Amino acid sequence: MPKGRSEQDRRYLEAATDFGPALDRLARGYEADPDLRRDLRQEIHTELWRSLARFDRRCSLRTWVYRVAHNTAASHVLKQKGRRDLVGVEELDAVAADDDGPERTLIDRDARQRLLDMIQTLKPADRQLTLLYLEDLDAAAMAEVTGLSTGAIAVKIHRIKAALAARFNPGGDDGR
Amino acid sequence: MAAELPGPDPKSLWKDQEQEAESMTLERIHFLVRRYDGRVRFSIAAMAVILVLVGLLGGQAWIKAHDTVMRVWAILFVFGEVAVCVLAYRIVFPQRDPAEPAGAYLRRRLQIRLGYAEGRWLMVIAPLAPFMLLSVYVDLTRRPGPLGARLASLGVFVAALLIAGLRSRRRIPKLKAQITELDGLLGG
Repeated sequence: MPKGRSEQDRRYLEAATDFGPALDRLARGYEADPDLRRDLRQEIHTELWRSLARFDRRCSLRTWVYRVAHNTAASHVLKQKGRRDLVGVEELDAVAADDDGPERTLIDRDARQRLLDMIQTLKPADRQLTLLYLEDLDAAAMAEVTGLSTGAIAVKIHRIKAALAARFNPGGDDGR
Repeated sequence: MAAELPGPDPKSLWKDQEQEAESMTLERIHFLVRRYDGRVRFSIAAMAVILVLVGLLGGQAWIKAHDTVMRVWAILFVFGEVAVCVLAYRIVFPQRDPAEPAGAYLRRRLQIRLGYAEGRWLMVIAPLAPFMLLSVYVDLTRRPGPLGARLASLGVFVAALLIAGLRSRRRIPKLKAQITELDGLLGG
């Protein structure tokens, strides 16, 4: 095996060990259909392996992994034909209000499924931030992954926390 | 940025998900990369076959051409098809930075989609425009039969372009709104 490739393999194994579960969760956040999710997961890992041949330490391995994964997943979302309308985190309440009738079953699902449903409804930019927030990255790390300004991220995180509180703890503190 | 939400903690819910059953081993990754590379090679081979066919057709048209107009027609056909293949290759296999910041990457992808919705996709077939115009001229001046029949293929082509253009334009407002929002978030 060429030396460059073994180095690439070593970096991939390091990334997969440290961030494999996070990548699995990320794929779930981007794709509800199990078969398509399997494809997306494979695509993310393949893209990650390929990208690591060009890993130039311009950022940490964690930032690199999240960037590659979110970019691959964003392409996946944008390629989908006939997808449902995606909304911003500010519009989530309106979507929930429309969920009556047959869609009412959403409310009866377990909390984790409701969380996934909420995430999969979000527009890509809001979804990126929500997933990074749930993975416990701080605002500076989110800014490094996304390139968004820290001020904008702070505002979005505030809204994400409020939306999560409204769905998972309606009677309690909404995080504001 | 610790979770401050009382009740069921979304972060715990999120992190406590069960693992995927299929593990991504190095062997699996190498297999997937080989399969992807195989698809790329197939696409390139298919494009090469198309170019060879274009060359053969162009050559045949050149041999059969009995005047300058038909020779120019054959040249425009070959050059137009080659240029379209090159442009299509660059679209299908774009050069990109895999670790571009996610917000900037998303904005760039949306901008490309907006460009196509606004009609940039016409640029892909633009190299064939001189050939198509000359074809229309040849049809109108040299082909026997009623005018309607001679213009039928042109009519179908123009109608297809219009329908495709109108369909893609419906996406423009949403794409513009997303780009504007992203610009605000990116601080640009």
